[in-house]
Amino acid sequence: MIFIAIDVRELAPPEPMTAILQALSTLPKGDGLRVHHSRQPFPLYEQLTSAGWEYECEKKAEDYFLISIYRQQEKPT
Amino acid sequence: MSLAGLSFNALPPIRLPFRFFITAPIFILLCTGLIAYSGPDLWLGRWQPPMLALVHGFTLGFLTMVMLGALLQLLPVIAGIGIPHPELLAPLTHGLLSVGTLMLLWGFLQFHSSFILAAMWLIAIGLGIYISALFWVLIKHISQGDSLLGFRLAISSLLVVVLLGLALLGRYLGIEWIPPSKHLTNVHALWGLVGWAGILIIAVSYQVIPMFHVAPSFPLIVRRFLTPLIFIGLLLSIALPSYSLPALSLLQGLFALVLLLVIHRRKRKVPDTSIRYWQLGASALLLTSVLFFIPEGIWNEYLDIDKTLLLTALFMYLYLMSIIEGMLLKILPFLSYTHLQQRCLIDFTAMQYIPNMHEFFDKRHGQWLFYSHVISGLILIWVLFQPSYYFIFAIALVLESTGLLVIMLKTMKLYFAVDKKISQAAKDRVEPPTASFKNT
Repeated sequence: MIFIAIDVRELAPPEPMTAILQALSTLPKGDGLRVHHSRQPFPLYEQLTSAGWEYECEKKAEDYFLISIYRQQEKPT
Repeated sequence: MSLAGLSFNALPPIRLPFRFFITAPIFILLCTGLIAYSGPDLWLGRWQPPMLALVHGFTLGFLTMVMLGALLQLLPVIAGIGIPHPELLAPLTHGLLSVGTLMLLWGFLQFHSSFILAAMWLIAIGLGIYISALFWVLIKHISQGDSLLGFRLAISSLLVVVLLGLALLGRYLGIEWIPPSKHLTNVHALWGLVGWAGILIIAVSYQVIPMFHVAPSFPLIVRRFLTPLIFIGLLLSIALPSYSLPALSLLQGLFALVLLLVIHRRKRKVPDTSIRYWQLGASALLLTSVLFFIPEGIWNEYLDIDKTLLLTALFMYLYLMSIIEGMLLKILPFLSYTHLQQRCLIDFTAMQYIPNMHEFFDKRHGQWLFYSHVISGLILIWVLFQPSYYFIFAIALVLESTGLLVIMLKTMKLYFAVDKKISQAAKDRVEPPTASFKNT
């Protein structure tokens, strides 16, 4: 699976969510999205699973999170 | 740390915080009526019944109302947690607190024991439900950082304020749970202003300033130790007020300085009314802290005004109210936008219906509200020196609270209009409009 990366760490809310939504809406089938974020986007998590997406979050530092998002049926191996 | 696929369901419907927010300026309007009706005598001292009514109208009706509404949404956004059964508990707390506060104000003004008794029950149950729900959820998430520690301490402070407030009200009814003591009234006020409101604002600022303004995090030592130290200072204030009050004042001054520094170092230096509110609040807090250390002798020689009254007015109106009004201007459009964005994950085509963020909040209206708050704050200080000009403060307050109410109503109206449009579009896709044919 190829991950397309976006960095939203320098954006103020609600711009990170807008950028993520735009990236997901154009994400090619079979690809995933990797988001470099300054915090955990909890409101995004709320709807991801019910909208058919899977996500993983890795904490890199106090203010640096790496969030991988992909379609539920396309879990990377 | 890795979080994979956790099921969050914490963000309650936006109409729940909306009802708290919309009630708050209505209480300010009621307070304005009280100021206009009571005349200049209201400002002669803090123990006047109309002053007690005014202070509780402001603290319960405005400050607490907004903070309870904001917590409903801020906890899910910044920590991914929310209170259980919000659809049941939030309206219950809102209703009981609103009616209870009205009863309390009327009870203070009329010395009416049955109103005081009703207020005690309504406020105790209303806030008790909310405090229990928050404790339950905050205890479950024990290891979630410095802001949550602050939230726990703020909620604990609210519990102390409510219990002490009930005991003080009990004395009106001849129930002597506590001895007659102005000191305990001071402790009640201190825990309310510095504990419940003050600690909560500090905890919220740790998250909100870096998040909304792309500013650096607050220094770790401040995040870790400031709110616990304030809480210890509050505990000491019960037995050793002469030692704890200077310490608390120093800690507040320290927070004001760090807040100004963090704001100054923000990366995103675009003009922002919300930031100006934070700067105004921090400056007022710093001034309050400095004025506290002027010895009584020098104060009485140069200033013909009760020191506690002036410091409390600065703290409540130009610090607490500035921050809360500025926060409302920031979180109301943000929450509206976030709720609508959430719907787009299910259906990306809905993104076309969401207007620009600026349409949820007109920056010029925010600026007018900010200037009206600065002007009303200066008039308040003037009225403390010259009570006969009270009506000018009442007029300024009417203009400001009406402005706040109109701004909030406009944002909410736009939210519901867009929400309806998205729902209609989704419905039309599922059930395409059917053409009707007439047999001729």
